Amino acid sequence: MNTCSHLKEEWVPYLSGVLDMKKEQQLLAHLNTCLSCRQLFEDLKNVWSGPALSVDTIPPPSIRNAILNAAALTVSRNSSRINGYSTIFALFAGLLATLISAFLFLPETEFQHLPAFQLLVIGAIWSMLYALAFYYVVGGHFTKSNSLKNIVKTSLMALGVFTAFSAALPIVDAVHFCRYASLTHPFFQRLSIGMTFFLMGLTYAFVPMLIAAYISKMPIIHNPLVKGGIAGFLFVVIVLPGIYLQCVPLAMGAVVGWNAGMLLGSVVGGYLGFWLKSLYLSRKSELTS
Amino acid sequence: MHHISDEELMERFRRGELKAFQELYNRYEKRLYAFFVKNLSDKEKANDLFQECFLRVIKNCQSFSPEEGRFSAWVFTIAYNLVRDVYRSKKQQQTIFDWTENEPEVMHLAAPENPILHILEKEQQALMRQALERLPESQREVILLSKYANLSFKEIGKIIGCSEKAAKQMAYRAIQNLRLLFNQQRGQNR
Repeated sequence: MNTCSHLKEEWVPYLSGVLDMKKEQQLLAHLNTCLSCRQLFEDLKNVWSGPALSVDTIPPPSIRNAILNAAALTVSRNSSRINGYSTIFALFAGLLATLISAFLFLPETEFQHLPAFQLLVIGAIWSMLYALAFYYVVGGHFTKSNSLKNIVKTSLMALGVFTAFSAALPIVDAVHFCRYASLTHPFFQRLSIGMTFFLMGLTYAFVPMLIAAYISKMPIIHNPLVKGGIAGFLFVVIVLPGIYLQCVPLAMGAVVGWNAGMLLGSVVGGYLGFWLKSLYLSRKSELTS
Repeated sequence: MHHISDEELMERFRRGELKAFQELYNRYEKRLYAFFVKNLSDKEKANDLFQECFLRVIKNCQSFSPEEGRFSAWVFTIAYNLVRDVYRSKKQQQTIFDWTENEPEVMHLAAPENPILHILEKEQQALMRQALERLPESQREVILLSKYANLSFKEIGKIIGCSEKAAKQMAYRAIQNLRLLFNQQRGQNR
């Protein structure tokens, strides 16, 4: 085989920068001495760096976002696999939140003396406590300072939105309703008092957990304020009935049922959140494809 | 993160570091997208395959093993297989490489300031695309892989299923044919 045809095979590897040093020297030495090869090589080099093969385009931003969201979801799923210690942590977080709520309210037997607005703010703080506890347990990003800042931003935003909304609601009427009418409603009359509180406790814990799971697993490092706003709004819309329940006098038996509901909610809520999110994304992916 | 290898970034992503994936995405975005856009004339299809390629990377991140090869070889193997699937589809064969009727409306990184130069460049690009379109599939694939994937020809040969030497020969024939076809197109347009 003559040198020209032998070395031509190495032209593309040379142009793409993957030719080893020894062959590169051989190739350059040949091009310096062979005029016909040099001319052809220059032509091909122009084709190589010309518009036919240039990298002059980028994909639409929507595709970039979809891909990065999918990656974020995968990271979330992987990090949310609650194992040994994390399960204990989740249970402990739920129990702690429950104990704090019991500590705050059990001594008060006459809830009608508590201002309605105070009830709402305390409820909001509890909800945030659940959310943060859950985020801490399954998020796993608490050690990074920037993430911590964003968590605080998200939480404050959620609390702010919640409080602002609460101030505009007909609180007195709602408290009056739940104080006198909630347990006399035909639906609740069919259930025992323990079951009623269990269901209410489940709702009360379940919804914040679901929101916390959603907010924290779609990494809040992006748009913490927007996500905080969404969380606050959702708390207002969905959790409010649970918070109003605080005004009903509590019996110890009912507290146990409520606590059980909260614990259950704190464990399953997060998983349901991830599941709903992944279901939504897979449907969306199917639709786009 | 710029000094970290692709394989290390992939490992970090598997451990749950989202930023590692973002860095990987940034490294491969333009080259992979160019690979699909130059291979397929259908803009929507190129977008879909580009997205699908990265989704497969995400989905199969646990199965990637640096011992079996570099990340770039892995990701371009996925891209190559996706393009091959499209080639195999009879329906796609009818619309594929119809540059003149369905020129991809891709986002250009920058437009030249001089409008005359811009027109000339556009004309040049159209001719080049037509030349690329007329290349045999295998030659087009090998030249696009060697241009964008930054792989050795041993790796390229492994992807396309031939020896290193055969891949080199095919790449040389591809670029030479591309030049000849471009000159032909230019001659016809004059």
